[in-house]
Amino acid sequence: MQSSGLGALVRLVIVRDLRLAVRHWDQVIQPLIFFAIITTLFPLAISPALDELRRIAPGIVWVAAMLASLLALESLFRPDVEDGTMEQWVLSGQPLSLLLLAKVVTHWLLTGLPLVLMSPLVGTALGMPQSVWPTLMATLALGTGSLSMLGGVGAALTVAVRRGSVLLALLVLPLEMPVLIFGARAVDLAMQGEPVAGPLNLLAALLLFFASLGPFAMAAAMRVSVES
Amino acid sequence: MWLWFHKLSSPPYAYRMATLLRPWFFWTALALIVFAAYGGLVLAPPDYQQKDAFRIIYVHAPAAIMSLQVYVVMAIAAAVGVIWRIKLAHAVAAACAPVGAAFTVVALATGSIYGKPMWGTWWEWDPRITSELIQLFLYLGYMALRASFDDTQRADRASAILAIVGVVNVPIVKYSVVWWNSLHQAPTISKIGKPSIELSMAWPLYTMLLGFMLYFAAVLCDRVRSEILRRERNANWLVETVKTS
Amino acid sequence: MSLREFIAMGPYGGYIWGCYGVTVAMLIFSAWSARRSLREQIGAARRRLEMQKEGP
Repeated sequence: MQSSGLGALVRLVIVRDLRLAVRHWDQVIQPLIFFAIITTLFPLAISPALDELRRIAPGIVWVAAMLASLLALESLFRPDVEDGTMEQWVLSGQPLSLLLLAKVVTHWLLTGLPLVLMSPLVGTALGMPQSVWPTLMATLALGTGSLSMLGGVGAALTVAVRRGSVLLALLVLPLEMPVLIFGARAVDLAMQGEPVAGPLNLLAALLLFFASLGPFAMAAAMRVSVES
Repeated sequence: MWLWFHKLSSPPYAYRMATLLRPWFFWTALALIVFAAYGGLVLAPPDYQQKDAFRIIYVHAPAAIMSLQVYVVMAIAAAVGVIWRIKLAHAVAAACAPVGAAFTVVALATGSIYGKPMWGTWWEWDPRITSELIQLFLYLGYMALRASFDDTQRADRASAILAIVGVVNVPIVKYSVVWWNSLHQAPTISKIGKPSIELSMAWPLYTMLLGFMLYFAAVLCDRVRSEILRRERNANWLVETVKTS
Repeated sequence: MSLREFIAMGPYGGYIWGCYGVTVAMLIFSAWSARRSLREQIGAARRRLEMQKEGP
């Protein structure tokens, strides 16, 4: 009974956030447009020659994905904290870590998953061969999950800080670097036709690690941020 | 043991101890550092391969070691503060960050200068340098987060969470950066690989490290004292302490 | 070995003395800034206590 109650609660949170997102769909697609724009900047800044771009394409896609996920973090908890919903959650006696985990999962569905789906398009534009698509999407799927988790901790820490978005970037980016390293490396290996299982396994391990510890850190941080 | 722990965690006692111990730490540290510098610059024979340039290692390596150790001390203090709700532990954690950042800057700067004659470049994206740079960002993030709260207690708890998350992540960052270069090409850092060094070359290194540790303790004493003063604004015991010091 | 040779350290004098200089500067600065903030805090505490005495 208890577990089904919690399951229902989590489902409720996810459905609610998804519904809110559908209503404010413009805010949901903004990070995606940002992602596309950043990848456009590199050909303009470096060179339009596909041969050159192909070499750095994994890095470009990954950096762009990282920044887009960072941009989306701003709105992860802020509305709920501002309208008092979060305070109710903290006081409700329900496990806060689970509720926040549900929010992060929704957030990933709305920002991480679209990035994954968009990535072949962007990759092709940068000269990636079709054979790399599965690896690219797999790394992004695993990696953006980790990014959402770490970002969630950062967002919970900075949500009470006024103008916290720069601070958020400062806190989260150094911690996210391993994800970037393994993600970009796996795509790079795939483009050279080498086996990618190593970095992919590491990415999966990171995701499990962050997903198991992240919610508790998030809940602790949120308690600090919400209580006045 | 517990009694001692409680006694130590009371601000007046800790304040007095810090005042008392600080000169001992400081002057011993100074003597050790001067002694080690003399040993490293004069007594140690020139290295077979690197000639005199290896003398840089006597400040570079201890600073790099300290940059990590201070972070660990900071995270442990933060965890103690969160778990047992000891305010003094938070004060210690807050006091650690600027000193640790200073050691990290020293490690980076001397490493960069070291790199010029050894590798022919001021900056190399070598795993060790890169992870040291990330370490500096972690310190800066910690201090920025602390500074962005007006309320000391909230700043304490929020930055403690960051310090703990950071220390869990530090090994991951470290190894990821090490693997980053070696995943598909031969590692490029074999140049600096250290063979087992002789005693005449090793002792200044350890002396310098010990000196840096005591120096850290001395600066920590000062910083903890000012943190305590900032936190215990209206405590009665302050009247006596402030008058006499 | 003359003093001149010692200071030159082969071709590495500039690098070595630069490193030690950076280190010493940072150590002095770090200790000095800690002392300064402590002195400021002590001064502030003293002023606060005097105000309390004069006040009520």
